[in-house]
Amino acid sequence: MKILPLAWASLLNRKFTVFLTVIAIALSVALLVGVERIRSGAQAGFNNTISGTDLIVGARTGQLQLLLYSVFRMGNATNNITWQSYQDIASDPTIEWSVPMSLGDSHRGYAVLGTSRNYFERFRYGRKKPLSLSRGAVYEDLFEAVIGYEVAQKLGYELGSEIIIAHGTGATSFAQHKDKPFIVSGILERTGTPVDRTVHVSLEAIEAIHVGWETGTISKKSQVTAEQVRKMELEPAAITAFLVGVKSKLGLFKLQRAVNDYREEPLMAILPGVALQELWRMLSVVEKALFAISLCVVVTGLIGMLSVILASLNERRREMAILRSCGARPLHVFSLLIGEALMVTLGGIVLGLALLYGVLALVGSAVEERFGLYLSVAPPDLKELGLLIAILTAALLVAVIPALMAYRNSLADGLTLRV
Amino acid sequence: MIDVQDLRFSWVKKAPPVLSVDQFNVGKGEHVFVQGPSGSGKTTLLSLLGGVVPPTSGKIVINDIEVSSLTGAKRDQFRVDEIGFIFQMFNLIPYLSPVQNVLLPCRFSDKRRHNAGASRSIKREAERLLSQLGLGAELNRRSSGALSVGQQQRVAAARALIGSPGLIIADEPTSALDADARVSFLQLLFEECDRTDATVLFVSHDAALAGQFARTVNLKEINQAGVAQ
Ligand SMILES: Nc1ncnc2c1ncn2[C@@H]1O[C@H](COP(=O)(O)OP(=O)(O)OP(=O)(O)O)[C@@H](O)[C@H]1O
Ligand SMILES: [Mg+2]
Repeated sequence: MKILPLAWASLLNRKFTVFLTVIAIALSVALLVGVERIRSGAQAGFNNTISGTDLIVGARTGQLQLLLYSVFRMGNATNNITWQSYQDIASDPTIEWSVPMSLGDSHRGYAVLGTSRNYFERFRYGRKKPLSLSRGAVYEDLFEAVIGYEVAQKLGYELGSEIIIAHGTGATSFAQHKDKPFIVSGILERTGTPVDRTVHVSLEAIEAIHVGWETGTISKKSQVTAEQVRKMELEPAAITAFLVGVKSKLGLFKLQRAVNDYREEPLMAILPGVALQELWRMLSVVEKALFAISLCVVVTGLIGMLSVILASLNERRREMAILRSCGARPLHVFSLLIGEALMVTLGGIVLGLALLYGVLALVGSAVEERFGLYLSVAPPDLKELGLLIAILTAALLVAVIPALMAYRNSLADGLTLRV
Repeated sequence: MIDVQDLRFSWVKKAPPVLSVDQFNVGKGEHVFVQGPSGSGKTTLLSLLGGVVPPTSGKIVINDIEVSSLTGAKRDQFRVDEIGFIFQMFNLIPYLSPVQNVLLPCRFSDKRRHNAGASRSIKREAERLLSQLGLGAELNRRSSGALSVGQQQRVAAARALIGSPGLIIADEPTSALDADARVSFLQLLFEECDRTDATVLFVSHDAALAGQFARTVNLKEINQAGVAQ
């Protein structure tokens, strides 16, 4: 208590160097906590992409691949599931609901998902939140589509806008189903999940636009008009995957095994939560690298502080001797330096948090818009507090070096004042 | 006031002692001038008397307190309670104002703070001492580093005097001052010391100052270590 005001005055006397040191620490703190915010935001957003679905079933591949194309609209299915097998499995008595999904086409880079109308009732994301329409209604007509929030936002679509679906998933696919345009019948609320970047149409619509495309390209001869298609029988021959909800979790693993052992064709059922975790573990290599880099920046900041204190130590030997002559104990000299480091670090932490919150407030909504990454401006959570306390502790440990040196000098110098 | 017996001290272990003083006494209220050439151990003697470093052997008693047997924190407390120090130069903590510098001993000693605040607030007492030593209130708004050397020495003297310690130890406080300033500095110092009946131990290599003191001691005469070399 006797010493802290002295430490404060001493720091004020060296405003400029101290300020630079505080800034260095502030930047490192902002970076470290910022990376942690991004990580927790990404992880939360990630785990929120799908919920309430017990199993995802697709052709047999890797669990991650199935997850990526069915939930994240990334990559392609290697194989389809025949409509027959889907019907067969979906009729299992333990299944409460199932939603077929047909992927593979796109609209200006956004995935087109063919699915049944009950997708909009059954699909859940986040904390079991259902999808809801901000405008319009779920498709009724064969050539109607429901678009995600981002699709509407980025492409400027309104209800009634016309959409041409491209064959395949490339953004600039040449082969387009030009003859069969879709009308936007509904626009979904924002979800922060890949649903925002999806164009939804009925399963029959997917069949319809592919009539005459059986060979992979359209030929003049086999071309069928939209009007002709409407009169055709449009039961899909195959789908890409389907989502399953079971009546009771007790039967879940039995059902999963049954699907995996399905005889008619090689299928695979995955638990979304488990697959998401595996995917996150893979992605977290990046997150760990970022974290390691920001830790290095923190260490650099602390070394900066150490060198500033060490550099001042020699010219302060006289100051220490004067303090000793006025009754300061070696312990006071020790705590003077520790106190200075403590204040510099605390200042750095406070400034760093202010900086981070400032940046978050400024760009937070833009980041959420563009990357679907929600960065909270909430006060530090337990893990972040832990990080801050760790920084403070590290700073104190680092400061022990010059403090011990000053302590020993003050004992060895006696009253001999060295200039 | 000061009673030194069979004192031996060396800075480096097992080296021959820098100081070897069999007997050295100073009475209460005495003004003693200790003279000796540079490197003769004057500052070392003051460090020992102030309990900044412990003697290798021997006994030091100051104001009935056996300094040489005090340990650690007790020595630090004794030093600030009983002694006011003035050094040769660069006496002030640069980041504290002159008044804050003067009040430094009160920060570490309840006794000094109590003595200083007996009649008025300790800040008032600090200002009184400063003006007594010829430093006006306007100085306090300046940083300590901006003061002239002579002004700095007076602030240091005020710091040594605040809270009326029984012993004032001065280590060549006037060597950076010109002849006139030296004499006036000493006179102001003595005036204040006499007011509280403080003992003054003043060391310097400058024999010319001896005339200002009632008693002069040559360190060479009391320090056998110096003779042996
Ligand atoms: N802190 C120290 N550590 C080691 N040796 C020291 C220390 N202080 C002084 N000495 C040595 O002790 C001897 C006496 O030094 P001291 O400073 O007491 O002399 P002094 O009489 O005060 O000289 P000056 O008039 O130059 O101030 C010198 O040889 C010096 O080198
Ligand atoms: Mg000396």
